[in-house]
Amino acid sequence: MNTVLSRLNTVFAFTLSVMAALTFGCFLTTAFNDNLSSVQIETFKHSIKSGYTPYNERSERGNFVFDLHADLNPIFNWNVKQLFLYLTAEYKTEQNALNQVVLWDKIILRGNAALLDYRGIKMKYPFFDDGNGLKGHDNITLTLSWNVIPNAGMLPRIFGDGSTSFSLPVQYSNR
Amino acid sequence: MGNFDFLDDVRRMNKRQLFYQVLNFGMIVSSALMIWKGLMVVTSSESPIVVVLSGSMEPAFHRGDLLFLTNHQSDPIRVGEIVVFKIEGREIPIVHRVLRLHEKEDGKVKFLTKGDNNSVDDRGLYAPGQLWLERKDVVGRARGFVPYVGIVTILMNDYPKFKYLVLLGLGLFVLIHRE
Repeated sequence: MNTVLSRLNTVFAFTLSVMAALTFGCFLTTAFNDNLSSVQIETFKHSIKSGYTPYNERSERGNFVFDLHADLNPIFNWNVKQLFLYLTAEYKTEQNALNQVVLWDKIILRGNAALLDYRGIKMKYPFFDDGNGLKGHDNITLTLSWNVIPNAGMLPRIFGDGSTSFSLPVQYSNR
Repeated sequence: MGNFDFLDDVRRMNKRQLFYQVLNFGMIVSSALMIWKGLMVVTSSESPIVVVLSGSMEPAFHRGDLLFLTNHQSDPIRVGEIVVFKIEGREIPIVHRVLRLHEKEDGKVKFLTKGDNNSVDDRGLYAPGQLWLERKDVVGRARGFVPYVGIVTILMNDYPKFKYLVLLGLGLFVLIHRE
């Protein structure tokens, strides 16, 4: 320990070890959280239109407006950098056993308002089906999920406790 | 003068000790390789650890962050998952989130992805004529994350001379150092 170089080497190695231990500790203390919260979703003004996707495929496009209430504050802790929320419509058609479409998403960083009280939100992404299975579909389930992004650690995806089902009309709307 | 003390060690080494040092070096390299291959088997992914190369997933992931991937076939792909995929014909893996998914009865699945920080979905990135991604394009799904650690890899890629310097330095150090 009597040259600058060997002292620098030791300090550097020690710093790295401490940082690694801290990061692991950060991960371990929050690895077993369940990150659950209850969610209320309601949908209104369901409609369906016939049209073309941006890639010129003939398709049907569903539409609706929704209200969302949830309190996500308890999920945030020192190891949660952000929550990535996404609203998924899940349904079954003749063509596909499972269809999942994300219609709306939001990023909430730690420190931002996490008490959600939205009304009359429009969809962010178009609600196209792969095929023509949306018209008159009577069992489309809407769930809110979130992906917990930590400072270091696992990346779990949690389903919010609370979902809603709705159906789309049989008639195309012209508006 | 004091800085070159370690070279005296080399001069004092006889053939057998030199051989021992080289073998030591070989052991370290093979252990590293075994750990990497072992990880590949446990995670079922051909690339169990990747470095984030672009800012398309900010603010979740920044350039230089490290992702731990798994790719078990029995684990179905679902929306909201962060997948690392490769486009046919291109080397660079892309880390984005699944936006839309359609799965048939037999398990055959096709899905669309989008980067959190991008305003449009990834169809512009796929191969010409390709509208969906399939299971075979996926390198792995992100399950764990450590920030900043991958910056070293990015530095080594951007400045190849730095990479050779580090590798050479490390190799020399292991060969010469007696312990």
